[in-house]
This record gives sequence, structure tokens and C-alpha cells, in this order.
Amino acid sequence: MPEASTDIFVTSLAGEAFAVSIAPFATGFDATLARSPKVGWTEFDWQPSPPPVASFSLGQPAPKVRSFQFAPPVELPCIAEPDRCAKRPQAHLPAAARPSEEEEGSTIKNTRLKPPGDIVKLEDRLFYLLQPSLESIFNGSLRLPFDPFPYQFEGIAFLYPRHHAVLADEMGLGKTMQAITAIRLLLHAGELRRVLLVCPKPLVTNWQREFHLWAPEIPLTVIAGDQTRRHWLWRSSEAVVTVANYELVVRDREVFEDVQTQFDLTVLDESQRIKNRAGATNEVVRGIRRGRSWALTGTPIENSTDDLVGIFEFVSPGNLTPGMKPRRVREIVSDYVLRRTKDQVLEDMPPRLIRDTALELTPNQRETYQTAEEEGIVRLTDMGGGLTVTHVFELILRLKQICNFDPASGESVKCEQLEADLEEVAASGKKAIVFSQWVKSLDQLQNRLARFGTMAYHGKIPSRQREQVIDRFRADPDKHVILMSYGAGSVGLNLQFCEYVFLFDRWWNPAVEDQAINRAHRIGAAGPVTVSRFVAMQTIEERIAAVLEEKRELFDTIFNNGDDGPRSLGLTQDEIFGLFRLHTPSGPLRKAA
Amino acid sequence: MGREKAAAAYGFLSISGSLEQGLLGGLLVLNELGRPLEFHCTAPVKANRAQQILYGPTLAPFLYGEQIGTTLAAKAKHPMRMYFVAQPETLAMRPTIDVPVALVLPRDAARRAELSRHRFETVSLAGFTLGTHFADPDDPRRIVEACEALLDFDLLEPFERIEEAVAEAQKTAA
Repeated sequence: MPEASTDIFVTSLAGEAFAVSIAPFATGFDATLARSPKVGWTEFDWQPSPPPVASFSLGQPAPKVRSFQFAPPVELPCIAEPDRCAKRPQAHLPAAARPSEEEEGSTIKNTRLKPPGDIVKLEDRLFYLLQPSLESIFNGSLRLPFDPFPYQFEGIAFLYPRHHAVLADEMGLGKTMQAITAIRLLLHAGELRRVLLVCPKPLVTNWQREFHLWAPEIPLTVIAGDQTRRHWLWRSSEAVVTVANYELVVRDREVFEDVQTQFDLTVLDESQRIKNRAGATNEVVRGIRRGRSWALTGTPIENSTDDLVGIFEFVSPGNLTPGMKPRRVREIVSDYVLRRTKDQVLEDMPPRLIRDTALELTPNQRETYQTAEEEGIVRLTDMGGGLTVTHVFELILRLKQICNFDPASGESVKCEQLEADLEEVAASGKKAIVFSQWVKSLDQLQNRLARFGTMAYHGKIPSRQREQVIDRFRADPDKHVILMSYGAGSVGLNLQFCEYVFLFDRWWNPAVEDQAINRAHRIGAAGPVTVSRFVAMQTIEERIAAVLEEKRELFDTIFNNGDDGPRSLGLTQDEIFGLFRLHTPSGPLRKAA
Repeated sequence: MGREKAAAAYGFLSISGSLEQGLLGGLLVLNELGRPLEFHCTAPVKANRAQQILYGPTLAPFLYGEQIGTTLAAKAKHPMRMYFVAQPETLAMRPTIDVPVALVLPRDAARRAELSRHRFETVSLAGFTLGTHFADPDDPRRIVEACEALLDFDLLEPFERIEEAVAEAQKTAA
């Protein structure tokens, strides 16, 4: 490297410039940098093994699947009448099963079918569970003329899947409509092809009317006419729903021996008609070849739990036996029987106010009563072993009649009280029903209560006039009172425009009293129904009322989950004797005539 | 069964349970009147630990859509017009089948808000909002066509049936 100096110019702090000469200075380090480095190496034998790897299978086999196939519904051509099945205007339909999105948060009521406990096969249970809600069915393929109450949908859902069922709703809750609608659904689903409906004779036209209203597309065959015609009708293969009254079913019993005469469903209306297991009606209906057995009754127990045994001999033979304890009966029937009362299901139903009016007999009534009772007991006692329940019963009737009206003086504390009550009823423009066991008492009342525009409806009024009586009582604002016997007026009448019911005397059976009260306290009742039960104090009436009240608990025991109660709802022989502190004779009692 | 009736079948698919406890799928095949034609339900499906870690956020669509949804759809005997599903994750089955899949959105506003994290297109139909998968842009049109026969139908109601039926089947299996 040449060693040459170089001049550079430097400026002082005072701003004066002057030249400085600089030259490189050689050192030993420069030679070191110019020399090549000395490099050595070492060899290694390197054979690396692969790292351990953990592998996971992320796929997995398809899950196991259980599959069920259901046969599609098969419509019966004979019930597919397009003009009647056609959709009706929305305004007439039940409330839509689903709200719009604007109504979000609102409650949607979907009544679903539930399989009964006696269906055990999973496929069969799923078939019912997977059916659409009743509301959606009636909002789609089928239409109803009126909006059913939710409890009525539940009743239909109860009947639909059951082969053995008792619909025991209190009167006035629409058992007829529920049964017809369930039948209609089953027919449309192809699960039924032939149905037999048996009812009391006076109700045949009612069933026809109700079918026309609720299932107009379903053809009815009513068994009527002479024997030849009836037998032809029984065997008609085109009949879908056959309606017959109990009497004709018994009379034509031989047709059921024919294996061709069979029904997919047999329905018994007012099935308390077969409560007597030894009766001909019970025997005949049990012999009907049938797939399903339904019973409809508002009073499944009229006198004792054995009434229910009679009904179950038809519905599900062998499940109940006579003499079973109420608790055991309740356990067995719980999946077969659906029982609702108006108080339970009708939130908008006006209340039923029960008022027990205890009355002291007038002095003349008391005297007549005491004489009759004392003489009667002496007579019964003197009869010894010849005493029967019929003799005791005669005395009871005699005493009860005196409690109504004193035959000697014509006095009646009940009538006096009734007159006072009716003054108020009439003054407020309301209407009242007065029930009595005796037409004679009703006749006496009609005379005393004439000023209230009193009308009468009982066994002595000719049948053809009865409808006019009801129509006039309903329409005439001056008619405030209708007098009814329990026998004629306790079933089949709609008197919901009456707000007062008077039980002038008490019936033997609370179920019959309930039926009477329900003439007024039913769907459509305008307001609260006040029920006055007249009882003469310190008389046979008071003693009977006490026993019957205890018996009423039997119903609760079986249908309302109460504790074990008495087995008989009516009075037993021992209880009738007990009313007079008489003892059952040691020898066997002869049956009452 | 005639081909025409068979063509009008609709599948409703609902999956209950949880990823942790196991999932139970139910497929209800209905005709256009809402009557049941078929029902299929799976045994419980549960992801193993490796799947839980490695599938990450895609685990749910995998189990709901591919594992359960596709498996159940393969069991259907009737030709299906479309599937309605109750859970958004089940929309993931759409790429594996030929017919549209629609999520039926709940009416409840709070529950709908919970679904906002899922991505789907929406179609409004007869009072219902349906969510569709992005796989096929033609799906909304096909869904509207398929639903013409269902205008009176409560599209949420069949899922209640499935829940009860799955519970019943489980009770029997237990």
C-alpha cells in the first residue's frame, strides 16, 4: 500500500481556514489480515431415528338408528263428502293452533295424544305420540263448527287411543261432542270402519242432531222399524255409525250371535244402564263383538262401587270385581276413566252456591210428624221377623211427605220459606226451578205459588206438551218458577237461564240431585247458580241428609283421589233401619219389592 | 303407496341432549297433512376427547350435521321434499343431501337472539322465519315451493312430537 500524504482543509472556530497534511501509518495487523486462515474438520456418523407420533382417528362409525314405519291413513270413500268436508271460513274455526310471529310469547295450546298404559309395544306407543296435535288437525284437514274447550280436546285425546275407556264427565260438559269427534277422527284415520252407538231411546234424536253438527260427513244408520227392517239394518255392510236404543239392542239380541255382526267400536251412552251385572242389557251388550269398548256416563256410580263393576264388565271385563275396596278400584280404573267436573274445567263457569236451609216444622206439622213417627216405629217393632226394608221405606216416605206438607192442616214451613225466597227471585226478574220427589207436593206448590207465574213439568204432563212448557217458561218474562219432579226434569233439559234451584225435598241419591242442579248450572249459565236444599230439622230428612253427605265422599274417593270411603252411595238396608235406630232382624231380610 | 303421495313427504329433524352428555337425534317424516309416516332415532352420540380438541368449533356441525343428520336422512324411505331442523348446527347436513334443509327459528325473541352467532340466510314463510344453508343459492326458492302445501302448518309443533318420541324410546331402551 503506497504511503502518500494528503492535504485536507480545516476551518477553525474563528472561521479561519487552514490546510492539514495526513498520511497512513503501516502496522503488523494489516499483514495478518492478508494471510489465509487455517481450517480443520471432524467427521461424525449420524443416522437420526424418526420422532414418535401419536395418531387419532377423528372419524367414527355412523350412530345406530332405530326405525319405525307407520301406515298412512286410509280415507273411507263413504265418508269423504267434499262439500261437507270443505274448509269453512276461518272466523268459524277454533283459534289457530299457532300464533303469528307478532304474537310471540303467547301460549300455544297443543293437545297431543298420549298412549294409554295398556299399550306396551313401542311402535304402537310412538304411533300415538307422533300424531299431530288435535288443534292442528282441526285447523287443517278437518273443521269443527265451534271452538271446543281445552278440556274437550283433552277428552278427545283421551278417547282416541283407547280401546277401553269410560268418559265420566259431569253432565253438561259435552261428552257427546267429545265422543263424536273422537269417532270422527278415528274414522278419518282409517282406524275404524263400523261403529255401534247405544243410547236410551229418548236420546237417539239428540245423537243424530249432534252427529249432524259435529261430523256431518259421517253417515248414520238408526235402528228402527219392524223386525225385518231392523235385521236388515243391523246387517247392512254400508253402515258406518249405527245408532240403536238399549231396548232394541236387547230385543234384537240374536243378531249379535251372527259373526258377521261386529263393530270396531261400541259406545254405550248413559252406561249406568248396564250397572246391574245380572241384567239382560248388561248381558247383551257384553256379547256384542267389538274391537273397542267405550262407556259414557255422568254418574258412573249411582249407588255403590258395584255399579262401576257392571260398566267395566263391558268396558274391560275382569278388571273389577264386586266388593273391591274403593282405593283398589281407584288404582285400577285410573287409566281407563276420565272424570271432570265443571268446577275443575270451566274457569269461566259461574259458581254453584249450595245453601242448606234447615227449617223448623210448624207446630201442627211437628205434631203430625211425631205422631206418625212414634206410631210407625211401634208398628215396625211389632212386626218382628216379618219386618222388611219395604216396611221401613214406607214409613220414611210418609214422614218425608209430612215434612213437605202437613196433611191435616196443609201447613208447610218449606212452602213458607220458598214463597219468601221466590219473592226476591221474581222481584229481580230471575227464574227458578223447584224440584220435588212427589207430584202431589208439586201440585200443592202450584196453587200456593201461582202469583209467580208458576209452571209445572213432571210425569203427569203429557210428553207432547213438555217442550211447549219449557219454551214458554224460557220466553215469558212473567214466568219465574217451574216445578219439576226429579224423574222428569233431572236429565236432558237445558235450563241454564235459571239462576236459582230449590230442592224442596232431598232425593235418595246425591248423583240424581246433581243431575237436577245441572239443568241450570251448565255451559251457558248466565250467572252464579244458587241451590237451596230444604231440610226439616230434627226429622228423618236431617238423618238421611247426614248419611248421604257421607256417601258423597265415595265419589271423591274413586275419582278425586280421596281416602277410602263407604262403598255405597245410596242407602243400604242397614242404614235405612238405622234411621229409626232399628236393628236388622237376625233372620235374613226379605228383599224389598 | 303411490309415488305422488310419497313425493309429498317432509322430514323434521331435532337433536336433543348436549355435546358433553351425548346427543340423541330424531327424524320424523310427515305427509303434507302432518300425519307420521316414519320415525327414526339414533343411539346417543358423543364425541371423544380427541374430537373435542381437534374439531374445535367445527365439532358441533360435524356431530349434528354429518354424524346424526346425514345418518338419519339416509334412513328415510320416502322421497323427501325437504328437511326442517330445530338446531342451527344441523344445517351442516345440507352439502351431503340433495334436498334443501331449513332451520325453523323459534318464536321466542331471546332464543332467536342466541342464534345470531350462527350464519345462515333467512326466508320468511307463512308466519315463520326459516334459516337456510349457504351451500346452494337456489335453496330459498326451492323451500318456498316445497312449503306451498304447508301454509296451514305449525312448523314448530312436530319438534315437540320428536322430543316426546325420543324420550319414550329412551325410556323403553333403559
